[in-house]
Amino acid sequence: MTLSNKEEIIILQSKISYKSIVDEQSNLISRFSPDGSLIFVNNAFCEYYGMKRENLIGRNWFSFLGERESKITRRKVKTLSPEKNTLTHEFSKKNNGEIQWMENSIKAIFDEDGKLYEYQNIASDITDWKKSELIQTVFFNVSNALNTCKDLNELFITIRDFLGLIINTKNFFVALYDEKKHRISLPFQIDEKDKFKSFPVGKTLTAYVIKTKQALLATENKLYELKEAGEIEIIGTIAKIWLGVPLIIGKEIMGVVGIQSYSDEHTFSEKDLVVLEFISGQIAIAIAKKRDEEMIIIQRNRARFFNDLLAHDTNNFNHGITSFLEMVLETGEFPEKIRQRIETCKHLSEEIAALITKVRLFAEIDEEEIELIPVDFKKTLLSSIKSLKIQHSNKKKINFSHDFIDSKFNVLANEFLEIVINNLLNNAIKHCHKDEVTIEVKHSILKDKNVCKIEFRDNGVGIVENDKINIFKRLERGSSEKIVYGFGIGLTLVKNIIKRYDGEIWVEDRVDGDYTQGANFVLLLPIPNKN
Amino acid sequence: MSSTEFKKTALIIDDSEINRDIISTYLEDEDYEIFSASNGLEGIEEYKANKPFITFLDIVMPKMTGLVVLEKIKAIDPKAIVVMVSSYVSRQNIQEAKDLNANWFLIKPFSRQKFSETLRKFEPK
Repeated sequence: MTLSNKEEIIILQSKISYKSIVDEQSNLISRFSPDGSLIFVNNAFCEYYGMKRENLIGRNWFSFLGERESKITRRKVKTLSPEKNTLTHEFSKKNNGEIQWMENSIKAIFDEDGKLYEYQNIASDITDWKKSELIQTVFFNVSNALNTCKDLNELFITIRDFLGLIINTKNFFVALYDEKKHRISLPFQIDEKDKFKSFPVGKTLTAYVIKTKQALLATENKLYELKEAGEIEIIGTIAKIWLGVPLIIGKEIMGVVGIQSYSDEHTFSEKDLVVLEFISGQIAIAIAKKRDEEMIIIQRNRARFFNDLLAHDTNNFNHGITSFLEMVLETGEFPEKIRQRIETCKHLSEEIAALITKVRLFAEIDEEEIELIPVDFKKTLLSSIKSLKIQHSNKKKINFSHDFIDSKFNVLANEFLEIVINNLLNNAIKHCHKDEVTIEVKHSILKDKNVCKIEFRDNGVGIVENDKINIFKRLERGSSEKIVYGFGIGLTLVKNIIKRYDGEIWVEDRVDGDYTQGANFVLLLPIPNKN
Repeated sequence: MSSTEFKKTALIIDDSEINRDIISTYLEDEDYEIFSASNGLEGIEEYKANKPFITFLDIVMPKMTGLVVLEKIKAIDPKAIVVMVSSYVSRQNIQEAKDLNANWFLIKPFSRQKFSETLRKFEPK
């Protein structure tokens, strides 16, 4: 069958039309034979490689990919079959020094017998998309680094490394501005030419950015213009291009983050300025955070110093007072009234020592890591009550009972458990105005939980409703509650210890609704799996 | 140490004169011969010269801390009986002193009774 002239004209018109569509595509369209020889290329392909069509036809398509990518792509296209005849493959390569990303959509074309006779490829330049994806990743990692880096130096190194993925950071610095001293310091600087630790603000480029509070992207010529205008003075080696962005928190300008190139004035663009502006925000936050942390450390060290001073030096003097009073009591013959007063002084001195120890422990409990281990509650309880009975033997009769039947009862705690038990028992004795003190300790294991409930029930003066929370709050920062006198800091210390054990403590009336019948201090403590 | 070798000698190393005075008084009443030093360096020299039966060593001292002195005394004589004395001992101090084989701790303020009990722990029966 032969085609009529009209039909031939229609086919020709159609061919011209499709060729025009293909030629005007911005994507690189090509066809090549199974051995890679180019059979067809569109205009975009020719423009991209800067070659004429006749010079491209017959060349090997794979040779345009570079050695490594060529091998990978050859391997991939060989896997194509009539059933799965397309693949998409992304790759990057350097073009005029810049990284370029391409996405190839390759289709294998088979004849009716399933024999491969051609490949068709549509390549898209995805560099901009890849760059923005990379910028997102860099921003994310920089934000993350704020929380993971242990100090500013590590953070600056990390930021420079991540930033280096999208911008040339060969010469990178972070400058901090000290308004009081009118100096600029460089806590971080990587530079091919110059090394500065600090310098007077003067008319440096950094000072210019601080003064204007604006980012500056300036080539060598622009820098000379600023110098001629008297705006800046050139200090150190002049850059071919300099980019500096102010570090601002609120209204405070903290310094400048900058990058520069000594070799190529095209190293940075306005796009890089935008990226650096974002990063500058992160750096400013990190510096502010670090300053706050350093201030906290200074204050904590100061508090620790006073605490140590109190614990050591004051206790030393106190030890002298206690010991000498004891010696005086041992050796002297005094009228009963004088003896009683000396004994009171000695007792007060011992109370001061106990208070100092509690304050020191208070700080230690807050600061130190606590490892919870099984501690025999029953043994600690019995040892405490034994020593308290001896201490109070002349003053009060103590009736003590408990319901621990087994030889031991372990809770998850540490050596501070003794302080908890001692405080609770001591309070029960101290705040009972009767001749006979009754203390009952009861325990139960909460169902389905590795927690035990231990109650210290006494016949003391009890705790009025309003004070049931306040008695644990002494020394609590920000607490506006009134202080409940008489309990010292002992119960606050106890509460802090229990908190560190992941436990709980509260106080109830021994007889519900009648606080005058005594108090019931309730503890919830974790217990080991097998008790 | 057998009872025939036992001589009631003690060394007090403490920068506080008051504390040296207190421990001296307690030891004198126990018929001890006493040597004392107000700093670590002096203390080590006294230890070398007198080889006391027991040493009472303050932990917090300027220049050379009690822990350093303890290490040096134990290097001279691993069997030396050293009682660490301090007005406050942190858990870290306790651990370090234990690691250096300190024999006992006396936390200030301590009573004469507590002091005597400590002595009895080490004196031959």
